[in-house]
Amino acid sequence: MRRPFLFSIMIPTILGVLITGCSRFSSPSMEELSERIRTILELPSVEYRYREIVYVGVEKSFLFIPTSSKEVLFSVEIRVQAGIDLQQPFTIYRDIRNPRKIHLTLPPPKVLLLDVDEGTIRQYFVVEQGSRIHRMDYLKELESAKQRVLQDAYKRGILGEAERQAKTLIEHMLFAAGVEGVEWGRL
Amino acid sequence: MKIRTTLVILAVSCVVLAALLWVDRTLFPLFTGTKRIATSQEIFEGLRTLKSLHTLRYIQKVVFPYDYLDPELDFDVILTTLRRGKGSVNSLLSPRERDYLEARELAERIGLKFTGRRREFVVVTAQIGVGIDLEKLKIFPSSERTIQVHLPPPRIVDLTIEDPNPSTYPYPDIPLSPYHWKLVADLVERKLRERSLDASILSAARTQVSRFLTSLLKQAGFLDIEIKEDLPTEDALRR
Repeated sequence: MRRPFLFSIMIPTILGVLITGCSRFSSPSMEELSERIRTILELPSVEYRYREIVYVGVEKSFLFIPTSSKEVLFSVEIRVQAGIDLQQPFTIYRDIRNPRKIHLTLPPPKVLLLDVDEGTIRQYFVVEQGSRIHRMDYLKELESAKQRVLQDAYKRGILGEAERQAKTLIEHMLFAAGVEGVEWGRL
Repeated sequence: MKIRTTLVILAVSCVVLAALLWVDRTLFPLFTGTKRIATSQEIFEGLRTLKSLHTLRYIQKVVFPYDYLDPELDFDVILTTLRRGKGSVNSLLSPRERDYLEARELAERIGLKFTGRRREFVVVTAQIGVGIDLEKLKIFPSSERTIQVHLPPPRIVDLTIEDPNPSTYPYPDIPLSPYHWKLVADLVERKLRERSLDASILSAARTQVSRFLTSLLKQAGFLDIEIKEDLPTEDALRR
């Protein structure tokens, strides 16, 4: 009578331990969470694409008589990517009162890429009278177009969008890892 | 006696198993804070709130009328086709020819000089949000760690024509009444909606969405993620 009773305890215990043990991951440590956050932040989170129009128009005159004029109009694609700057450290620690709450401080977002794709240049027209368009003429305009686009991206809120997106992804990861609350700070 | 013993063993086994499972589901997480694998439903609900987060923003400047005046087309040939042909403009002309005709007619109507020595043009800025329709997103979790996602093709989610700002308009100014400006802006908006987006823009939007979903699902505990894209249709690329 004693042996069957012992079996009746042992068999379900072994079964139960196997079932529950196989279906669980260990609780992620702070180092592990930091590593996961770093992986998320390595992705440039927001991208704006621009089709910018560049115009170069130079007219020279002598005694109010036009001597030369040159004009060119073309379009070019410019990419702007923003994300969290990983060169600066972020801090993460558990709440003393509630270990399921995390305090997280991220570095400020920044523009990570500003790229002019010269392969996409499409010229609409060129007018050369008395002098010709030189490469430096339009390179200077291309550079100012780049700065114009960068300022426009700031104005449209690319940095705020990058920060919001990074936070959303991190919160999803933390909640999936069993964290119940995240308190955000700023470096 | 044997039947009684078997029944006792079965009953005690059931009780012990039930108790272990209860401890596992209810009490164990309270002590250990175990990693929770989000269910597909939770992930799906989470994704619904992210619609505006992962669209590619495309700021497209259009040069009117030159963006529609294809140099390979001849205006006289278009007019001849219309005069000689029978049927509607849509049936007689290709989309590029219709663009040419409409842009040229409007440019002449508002008095733009676009041929010869003097070349006038208007730059119209459109802000286009490119993304995927999350209502058409399908998630198939095949096991606890494996998931398959079917993405609808990217499309224009929103499109706005922006009013030009005189202080930041770096192009030659031309005389244009508010009514004429509205006609130009309306034509540009209509053409943008009619035309499919550039392949590189669609590809960038697709990459962004895939990267975002992969990262999100990995964080939710899925190890094997397969993202497939449903084939785009002509209508899907437009609004």
